[in-house]
Amino acid sequence: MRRRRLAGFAAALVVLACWPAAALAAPFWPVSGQTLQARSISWLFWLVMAIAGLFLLVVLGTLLYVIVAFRGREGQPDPRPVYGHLRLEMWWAGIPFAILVAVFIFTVREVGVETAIAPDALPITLIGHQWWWEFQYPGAVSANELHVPVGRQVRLQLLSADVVHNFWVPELAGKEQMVPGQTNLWTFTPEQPGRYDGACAEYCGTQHGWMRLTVFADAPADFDRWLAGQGQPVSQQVLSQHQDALRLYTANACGACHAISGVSNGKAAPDLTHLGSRSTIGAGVLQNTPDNLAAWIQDAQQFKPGSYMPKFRLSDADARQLAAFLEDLR
Amino acid sequence: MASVARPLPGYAGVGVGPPGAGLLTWVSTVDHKRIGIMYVATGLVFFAVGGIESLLMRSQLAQPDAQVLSPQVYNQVFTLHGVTMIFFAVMPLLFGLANYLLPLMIGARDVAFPRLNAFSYWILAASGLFLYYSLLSGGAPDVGWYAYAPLTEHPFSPTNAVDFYALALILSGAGTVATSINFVVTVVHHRAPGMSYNRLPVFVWMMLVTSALSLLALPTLTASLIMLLVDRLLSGHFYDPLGGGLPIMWQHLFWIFGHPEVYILALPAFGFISEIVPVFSRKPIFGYSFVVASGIAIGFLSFGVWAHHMFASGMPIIADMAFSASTMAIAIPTGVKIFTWLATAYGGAIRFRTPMLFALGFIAMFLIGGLSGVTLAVVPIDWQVNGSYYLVAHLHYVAVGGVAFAIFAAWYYWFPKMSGRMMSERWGKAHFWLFLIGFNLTFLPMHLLGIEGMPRRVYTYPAFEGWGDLNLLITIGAFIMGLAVVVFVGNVLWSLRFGRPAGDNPWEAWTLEWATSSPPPSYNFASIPTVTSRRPLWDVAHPEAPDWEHEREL
Repeated sequence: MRRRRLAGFAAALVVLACWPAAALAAPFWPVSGQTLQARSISWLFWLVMAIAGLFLLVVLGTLLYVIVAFRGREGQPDPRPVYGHLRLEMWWAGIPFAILVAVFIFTVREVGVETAIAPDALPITLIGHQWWWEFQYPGAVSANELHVPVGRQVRLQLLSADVVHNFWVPELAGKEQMVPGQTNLWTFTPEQPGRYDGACAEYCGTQHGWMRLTVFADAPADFDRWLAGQGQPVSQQVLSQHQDALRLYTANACGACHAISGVSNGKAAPDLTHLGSRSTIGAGVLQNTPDNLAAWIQDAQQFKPGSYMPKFRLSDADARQLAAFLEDLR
Repeated sequence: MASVARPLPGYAGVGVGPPGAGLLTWVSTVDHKRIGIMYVATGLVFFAVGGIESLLMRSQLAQPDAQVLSPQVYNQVFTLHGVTMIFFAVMPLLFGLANYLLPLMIGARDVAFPRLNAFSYWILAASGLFLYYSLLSGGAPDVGWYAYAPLTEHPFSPTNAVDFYALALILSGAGTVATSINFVVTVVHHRAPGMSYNRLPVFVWMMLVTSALSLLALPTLTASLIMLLVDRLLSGHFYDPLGGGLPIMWQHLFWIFGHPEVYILALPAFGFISEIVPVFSRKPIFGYSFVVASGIAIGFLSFGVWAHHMFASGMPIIADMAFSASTMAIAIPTGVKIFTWLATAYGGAIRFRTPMLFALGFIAMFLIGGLSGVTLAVVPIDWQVNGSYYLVAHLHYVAVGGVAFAIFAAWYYWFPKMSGRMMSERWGKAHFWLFLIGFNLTFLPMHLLGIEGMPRRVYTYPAFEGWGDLNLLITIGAFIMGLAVVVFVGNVLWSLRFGRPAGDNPWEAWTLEWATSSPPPSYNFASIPTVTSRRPLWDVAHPEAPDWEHEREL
């Protein structure tokens, strides 16, 4: 009996140990907020976690105490019945109520911080597609990599071209759905230059898993230079250097889906006018290197099965030639 | 009502022969007990299928960039897992146990409409098979269990899979509505003499509230699914933005059903725990009126919280705030229940048999799920972690840590009544500890993954995010849970043949189902018992201090 009880306690310890073990296995850095908005969420998160954690400890502690203190013995008669206690019941409805009122007040306050948009915020339109992102700036279009200037609030207009998507970059802000036929607004104010990973957070079909994005927060001067560059059409020099690749591009009807300013204006797939300036292809599935791009052009399905980029029967030489052209689109 | 003090021991009846074993007697039965057993068996089969699906998912996610399942297959598997577990495993298990227990607990011979009851079961079983028939017809649905429009519209889901999803849920919904009508009429009309509403067992009260929720919530689901079918099959535009429809309307309609559905699953579980904790603590439930009233309050509030699933859908801030407040409000009656169970066990003489272990496990695990639910009611936190693995963790602490633990507790508790034999305690305890450890290894780390940014419903994740170790831990935990369920099924099969004979009342419990034989005769009670208090069998055992003297003490 004693041995069995020991085994029971050992098992209970294993269960309790799962908590710190899980926390140690991945260093616990929740939403280390890099913007005013994300820090506001982070602060509220820790506040509520502290309250919930305290509550959890008190109730679990009571439960453990009851388990240890009121273990029945063999042949013990039934204890004296207790049917209830009105005042006690009022207290344990009232105390959680008071705590929740406080939490709600903090919620209202922080929501105000997170949703305020200054009139001079930089407007950017984000359009979700199955399974990539389109970004429209005043005077430029980009895909899958969102550049924003440090120190200036951005005002994101979220749209969708097909199904419901969800824009989520945990370090910069919470998330917001992109619903077709509806314009949702979202905002954050980048503070630190750097790159931040994000992903689609609403299941949107086969390749939801590889609908990822990267946000680059650039110093204001870098951002202005980048934006000016994205607004430029392809130079005649690049086009004349890649006459053969351009013929491949046309012959394989790449332009039916993709746009290259001055060459084609397909709308169903990412704009390629400045593909060479991006660090990944396929919404994050591959690093943007000439070899990867050639392999992607030949058989995108191998890397992103189910995506709308078909398999092209191109020779290795042709694929490399096409990739070299696209990498020169900077 | 002169002989109030000792009416019960003679109610086991005579001539309790073994029930006919032929297949036809099962197919044609209208006995609530046999229908209940068929429900439970069906639920267990689908529970195993849904469990295997979860192990398939965990195999794919054990490491980054794995290729165990293709994205197309993975998306079908997670959709089937959700739909199966909610509609074809947990609901049949809950409604099956209720089917078996509810008439016995109120001293009735059967439910009010036995043939309707058989209809409910058969249409549920058929709709489950119908859902899985989609696998033979070009692929299972791959849109997630809440199937947000317009992904479900014809251009994005051109196969028949979504039609199978919609029709299967419409059919099973019809069965649930019929059962709910049956339960309500049975409770209102077939209570034994003396069984006033103030003396109804808490489980029966919870089933009454659950039935009311089903009657109000499921028609919304049916209507929204019919609109979806009109869109898909008749070129309608309810959810199609190009034709002037509103995709967001699906989200509202689905969750107007979907959140009461959460309580349709949770309230019967609360009922089980409210029956089991008192018996194994050897004390009456603490604050009966508060327990019942909090269940009713949850029922009402559950219709006012649906849009907390939609804080990130672009609603006006004022709507976000209103639903945040209502969601926090529903935590209060839920907390009342947890305190009540603790107070019931406090000062008791606790018997740590398997049903009680699962009931105590339920209290601890459901507490965690409830608290993470409150964090999700805080709108900004929801903006950050909704749609991530944090949410997967939360919903499983409620659905598994809560509902499944309660179902296991109920299973070990009432199995002796249903089969006439006890389950093995040794294997029951092995099941409990394996399940508790596996469950926490699986779902606790998911909170961390969600906070670190891992979205739910992704078929793989990139290696550079560093999520591989936690995911491996989760997969190990999932397989430990799988092992625990194998132990459970083995225990059930072994106990059915070799279990110790149970006798009428092996747990020394107090409600009416323990007054008759195990298993009960087809007519339940030889003569209808007269009920004198909330604990009729306590009064029989303790004529010197009967319960009815305390009925006004809450």
